[in-house]
Amino acid sequence: MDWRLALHVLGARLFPFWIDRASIERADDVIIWLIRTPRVLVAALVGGGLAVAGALMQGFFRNPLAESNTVGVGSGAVLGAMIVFSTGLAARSVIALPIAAFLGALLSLITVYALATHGGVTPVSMLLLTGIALSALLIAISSLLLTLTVANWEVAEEMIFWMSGGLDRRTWTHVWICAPFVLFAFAASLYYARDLDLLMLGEDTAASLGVDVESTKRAIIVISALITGSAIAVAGAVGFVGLVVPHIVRLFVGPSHRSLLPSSAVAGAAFVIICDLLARTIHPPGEIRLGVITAAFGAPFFLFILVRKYRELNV
Amino acid sequence: MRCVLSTEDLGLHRGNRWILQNFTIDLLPGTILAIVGPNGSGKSSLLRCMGGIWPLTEGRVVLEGRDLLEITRQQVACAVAYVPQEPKLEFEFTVREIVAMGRYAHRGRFERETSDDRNAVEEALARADVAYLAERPVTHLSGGERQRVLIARSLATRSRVLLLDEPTSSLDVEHGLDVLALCRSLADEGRTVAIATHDLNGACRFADRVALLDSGKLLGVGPPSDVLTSENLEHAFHVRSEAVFSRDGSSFMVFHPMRPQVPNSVRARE
Repeated sequence: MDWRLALHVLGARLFPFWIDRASIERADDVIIWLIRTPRVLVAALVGGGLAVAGALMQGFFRNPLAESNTVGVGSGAVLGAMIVFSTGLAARSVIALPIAAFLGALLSLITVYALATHGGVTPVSMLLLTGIALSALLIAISSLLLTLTVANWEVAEEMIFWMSGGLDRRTWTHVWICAPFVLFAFAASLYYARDLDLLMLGEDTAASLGVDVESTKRAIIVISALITGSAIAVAGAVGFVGLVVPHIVRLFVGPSHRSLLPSSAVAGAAFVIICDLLARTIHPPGEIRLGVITAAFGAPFFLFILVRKYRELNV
Repeated sequence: MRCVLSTEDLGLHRGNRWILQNFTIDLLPGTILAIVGPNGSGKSSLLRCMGGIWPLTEGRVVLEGRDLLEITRQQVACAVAYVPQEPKLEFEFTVREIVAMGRYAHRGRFERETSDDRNAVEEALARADVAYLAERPVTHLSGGERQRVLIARSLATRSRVLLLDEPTSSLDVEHGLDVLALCRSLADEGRTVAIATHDLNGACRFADRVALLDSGKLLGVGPPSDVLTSENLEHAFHVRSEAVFSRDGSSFMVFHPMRPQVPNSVRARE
């Protein structure tokens, strides 16, 4: 398909009074406007959102390995989505899905924080081990729910989709489900950007420099759960975006959140759009799951950082 | 003399025990108070309570006539600077960025840095002798350099009260003396300084007053010669102390264990 045709369709849709639609064929219009465009937008929202959530959690746990996947927040959000599916709530209300995913993410984040953090310090090992154990538990419950609903194949198929993460069949509805939450939470994260900088130096230091530590921590937990939940509500468990992107962005713009958060949003959006393009085109006509592609990039990267951090601590 | 910061019947209960109890002490303007005492006697906790960082269990902390709880965290941060003992510096901020964080409480969330902010940062970098490190990432610095960066940050706040938790513990002799001399000159300019330290000789030499802590209680507070008596030191640290005079007439303390010990050199010969 020609890029000029794509531009023509987009132009005609966005500016119907200026650009003539008559010459566009129905099939092109459907493919570009109803299939491709929402998919790219959802990819951008999910990628940008997960990258920002990753940056927030890394600042919050003062730990560069924190991410929705490693701390079990992703699994919490997926479980929330699963419950909504298996109880049939999803069919009744569009908003139930992101809210359930948000609550799942919030509860798992609070649990990991309560278990792994002592006196404001979260050791790497505790964070990762707690995350792994909680993830395993939540995934087990998700699988159980799946087994129980497998008789209803339509619902079960939807649930399998959520567990592996992907962007196929995303529509404008999905854009509207996640866009308000992700954008609102992103704006809220910018409000807390400089408090996050100070929190990275330790809670005592942050407090002594003027940060209201407890209320800021609560806000950051809610914001990261909101972003993770609404991103996972539309794309399923897409892992490692929040780990890879902020890390690479930090190399270019430094650790200060005022530049880190917006840059991560842009870079995360680009990363997931590219990963989704690969997922769609590597092995036509079949699609590879998006979660598989991001994990293929992210997991080795995660191991690389882990080994480097481990060596640093033991030299 | 009007006191700047004071604790009134302060009590702190954490982890099933009283860390500080019935603690009343004043910080006077233009003076250095050295807080000394054995490990775990509550020196660091006292500084955190004074800075309003830890909530108190009992009593109150009064800053210039007002209870710390009545004023916002930002107002406290503008008036009282705190330098922690172990800096947590794991992300690659530059030295200048770290020092500039001392100015955060002085402006609103989205306000830009003013020339006043920039001047304060430059001055702080120069006074703490870290200007030559300004663009380096803090993660690449030595322990002593990091310590001086934190002192620079506390200077950048231009606060009237400075609370330093063992600022000289990771410094070499030269920089340790520099930091104490810097504290002296800050106090001479009218600021109020409190230092928790294990360096009893340094405390004698640079501090106006010494507070001796033992198990969360105040054994004594006053001029060094009144407080650091051999009886008090024996009580708090379980050591014998002896005054040694140098050629210029200044005295230094030398410490001996209570139980006589055989020196290693003698033990090797046996």
